[in-house]
Amino acid sequence: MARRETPAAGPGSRALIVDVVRSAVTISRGELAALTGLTQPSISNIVRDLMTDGIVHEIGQAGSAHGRPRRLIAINPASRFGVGFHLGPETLTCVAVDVTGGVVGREVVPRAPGEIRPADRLARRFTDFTRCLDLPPERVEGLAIVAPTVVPGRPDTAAALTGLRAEVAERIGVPVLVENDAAAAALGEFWSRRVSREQAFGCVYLSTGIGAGIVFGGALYRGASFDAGELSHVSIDYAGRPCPCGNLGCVEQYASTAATVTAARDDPGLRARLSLDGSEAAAYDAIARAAVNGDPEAYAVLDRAAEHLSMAATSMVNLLDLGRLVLTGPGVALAGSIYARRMRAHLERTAHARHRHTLTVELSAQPRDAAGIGAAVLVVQAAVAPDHTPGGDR
Amino acid sequence: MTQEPQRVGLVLTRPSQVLGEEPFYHEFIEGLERVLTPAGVSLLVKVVTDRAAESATYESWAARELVGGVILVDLVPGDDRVAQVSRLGIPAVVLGDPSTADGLPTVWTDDAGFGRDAVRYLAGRGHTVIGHVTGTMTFAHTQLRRGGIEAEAADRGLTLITAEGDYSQESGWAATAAVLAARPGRPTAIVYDNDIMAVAGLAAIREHGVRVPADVGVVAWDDSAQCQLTVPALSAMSHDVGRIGELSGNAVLAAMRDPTAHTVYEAPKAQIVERDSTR
Repeated sequence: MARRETPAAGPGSRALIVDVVRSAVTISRGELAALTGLTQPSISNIVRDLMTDGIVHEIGQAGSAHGRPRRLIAINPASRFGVGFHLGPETLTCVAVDVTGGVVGREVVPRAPGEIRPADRLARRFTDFTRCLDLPPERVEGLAIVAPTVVPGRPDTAAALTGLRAEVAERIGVPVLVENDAAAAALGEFWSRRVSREQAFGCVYLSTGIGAGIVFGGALYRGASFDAGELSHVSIDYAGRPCPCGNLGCVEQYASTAATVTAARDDPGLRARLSLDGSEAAAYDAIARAAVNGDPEAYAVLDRAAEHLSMAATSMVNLLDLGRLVLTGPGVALAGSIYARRMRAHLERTAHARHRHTLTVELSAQPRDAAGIGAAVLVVQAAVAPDHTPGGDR
Repeated sequence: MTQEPQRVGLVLTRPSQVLGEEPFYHEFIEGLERVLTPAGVSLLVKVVTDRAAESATYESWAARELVGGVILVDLVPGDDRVAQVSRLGIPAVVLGDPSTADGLPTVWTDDAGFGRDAVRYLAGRGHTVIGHVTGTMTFAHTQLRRGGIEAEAADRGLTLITAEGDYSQESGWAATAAVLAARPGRPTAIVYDNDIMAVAGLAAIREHGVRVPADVGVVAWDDSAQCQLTVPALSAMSHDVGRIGELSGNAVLAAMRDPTAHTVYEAPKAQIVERDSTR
């Protein structure tokens, strides 16, 4: 790894300190100086400011080689909260997290299909949700609204949300951010898993579409508009299945939860054995449950999807030279082990940098809520480490 | 629809980080939503760190009429929350044994019976000394499960070595060390009360230079993606947790319509899914 130059204490230093304390869990000022390259006086000043703001606190002492105990600092979890709204096809998922990304509350509210809630409704939902959780209003830093990307040409969620942003912000009196669900999920995983900012971190979000998010140097890559990390439309076959996006062989035609449900419904044995007639989400979970409980056909359908997804994952990993990849989203909630095992094996054989460094593939601990959690974390990060949210005004 | 949807509340008492780690509650909540969402009812989950905060939450929700019903989990014998929600007039459903519910509707899983099943399975594979790493012993379901495991072990003349954990990774690690240190006979199989402790236990067993499954077999109580992904993959006592959530969703909707009905809903049977950790 390239040697870092000693940075001057600048606007990014505070974000850097918060990030290092977050990933270290507990750390002394001396260790902070060693890890960041900032001078001791700079560290002392920044830590003092952060303590005044309540974001970090001292939590005890550790012995040191020289006999003088070192005071340890840590993130003060309940000092700030972020709220995230995830707009799904049938539900609005509201999530509140503390500074470490720990979930303090969530609510799933039914919504009519296709409805974009107007500003009044979203604002009232925000007030209601924070009231139900008894969150102190002065510690709630904002709201982030995330939604899936849409096929080009369909009614544009991103534009609708962007239009609503200022209206909602005006009503609730705190900043409002907008992002796509998969990208937000990546930041959530990065933050709550305490991944270090040194790592090239990526996340694959498996749902009815397939999204991805990338975090470099502690910052989420947010692209030119709303569609960063659109893994769904990475083609794995130039003469493959046509996709509504206009391309051929897009991986979502083979590996999304929707594609898997279609494949299972086309299998007469599975059709007879499992109840696949309900909603797509319920049908997918039935297949996933059968697969992990030993149904060979159900396993085969999922493993095939996992193979296709792994092809696209290799492209993503090679393009970005990732060191750590997390699988998340509702598609990996029950059968994540099948995807993770297949992807590990595939990347061990195909990742271009495999002889140079290890590539870790992990499963999310909360795959179903990852997008909502990520949205809430987007708010927390913007509040406590603001230099990491470029484009935070959109 | 101009009216705000009705709301069901669920309070979980544990550090927020533990909620993040527990697949059981994710799948339970998913099942609840499969029933509540189509009924136009929202599900609110609040995470608090102690029982006092949980009780204060019910008072606050009732005073402001924020919820139309609640689901109570992790009951202790003689749990005061049962009387509290009845006094507050909040329709409630208990996830647990009917003996803890004082007449409230219950979604019941036969923990004692499934405990017996787990021992029967291990005895059938020739194990005579069995370890059990329990969850928090104040919970009624933990006591019932341990009771079932003890009774079946006694009936079969097996030796049982137990250690208490609290469902966390750290406790799973520590309790495993305690069970492995048992003398004269180290267990040849260990049952863990949840998947998180089992995954930690697998690592702890290795740390002691003991092989799985050659020296010690491992069974996790809840199945999850994480325990399928370990090497070797863990055998698990698998519930259809999503189905338990659906039953609870139907139960709470019924209680909101008619708070006087005291139904006991029986959850589907749990069964051992055998994988490499006991083969």
